[in-house]
Amino acid sequence: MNQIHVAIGAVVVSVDQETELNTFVGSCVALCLYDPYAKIGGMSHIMLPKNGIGKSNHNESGKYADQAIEITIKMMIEKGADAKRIKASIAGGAKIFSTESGESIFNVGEKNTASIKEILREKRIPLISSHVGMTYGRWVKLDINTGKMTVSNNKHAEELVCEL
Amino acid sequence: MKMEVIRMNKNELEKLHRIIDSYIAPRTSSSLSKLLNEPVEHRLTKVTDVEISKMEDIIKTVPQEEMYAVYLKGEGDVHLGMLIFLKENDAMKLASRLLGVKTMNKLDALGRSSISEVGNILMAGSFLNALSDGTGFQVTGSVPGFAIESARAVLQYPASDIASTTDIIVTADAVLHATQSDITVRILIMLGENEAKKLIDSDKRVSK
Repeated sequence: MNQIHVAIGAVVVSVDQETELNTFVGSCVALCLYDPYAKIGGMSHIMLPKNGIGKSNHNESGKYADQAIEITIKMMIEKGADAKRIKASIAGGAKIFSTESGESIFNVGEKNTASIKEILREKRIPLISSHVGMTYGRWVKLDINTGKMTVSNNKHAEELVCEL
Repeated sequence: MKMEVIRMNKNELEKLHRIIDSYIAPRTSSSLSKLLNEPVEHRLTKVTDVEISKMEDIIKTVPQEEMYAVYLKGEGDVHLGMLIFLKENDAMKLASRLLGVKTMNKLDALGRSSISEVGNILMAGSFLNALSDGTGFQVTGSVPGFAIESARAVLQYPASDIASTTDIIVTADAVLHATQSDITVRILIMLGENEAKKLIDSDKRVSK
């Protein structure tokens, strides 16, 4: 199986049935989009809810939720996916840092998750599962052949989240 | 619209190295020395700028085991993130020393609080005061956030924080080492390239 690592703020789309996309997310969110009929999948590593300044380096096209979703869908369609068949799954958005008083200044993960869910709703892309929140980072994998999304970390064994 | 990525030049990075070194050496390391009542050596290992997509290059330089981390945001005339990392054993030693107990096997709420407070003293207290004295900037430290996680997970929050305004993150990586207790505290200062340039420019004004 070929492993392709999705860097922080990046988007990768693949049609290769021997490929597994992977990324590690803490407060960031891994968004997996998949067309089960065409077996085309994409993963973006989202850092922030929305692009407030309206510009982005092409290498960091997954940085903002709005741009990441747009670009991933576009790349998938270019490779033969049908937008109507695309399903989504997300993982991450953890609250890694906590304060003694429980202040919410470190909750970007929650904001990322809410923003992605809202954009998916607007685009009528069904969100099949979300493995989000908690206080720990996760490895997220998407198998291009099967559409299976798994999560794991050094404390939790690999868990099948969904089959897209 | 594609953002133009402007990297810092070698001269700017060297200047920033000297500036941050001049804040950490006399203030931050001496604060830790006072807290522990023992000599503390300071080493600023590297100042570098990295594209966000290559953030994981920074992670490679940090131990991959679970770390005890405290993060503070500096906000005001300049915006920056300040992270301190300790290995588990060092966190236990530091907490037990501060709480006046002989040994500590598990970091309880009081232990966590003491580590957060160390972060607060070293960064919001000493480092930001030195920065204000050196530049005239008014910068306030946030409440400290505490985490026990891998460096990979811990670094994402500060990276996201800075990524909202830039695609380039400038990092200054320093190590403080208490020579008697062998406690090592690693400090990572992170800021956008425009914020880094503000520090460099202000230093020119101060040294005139």
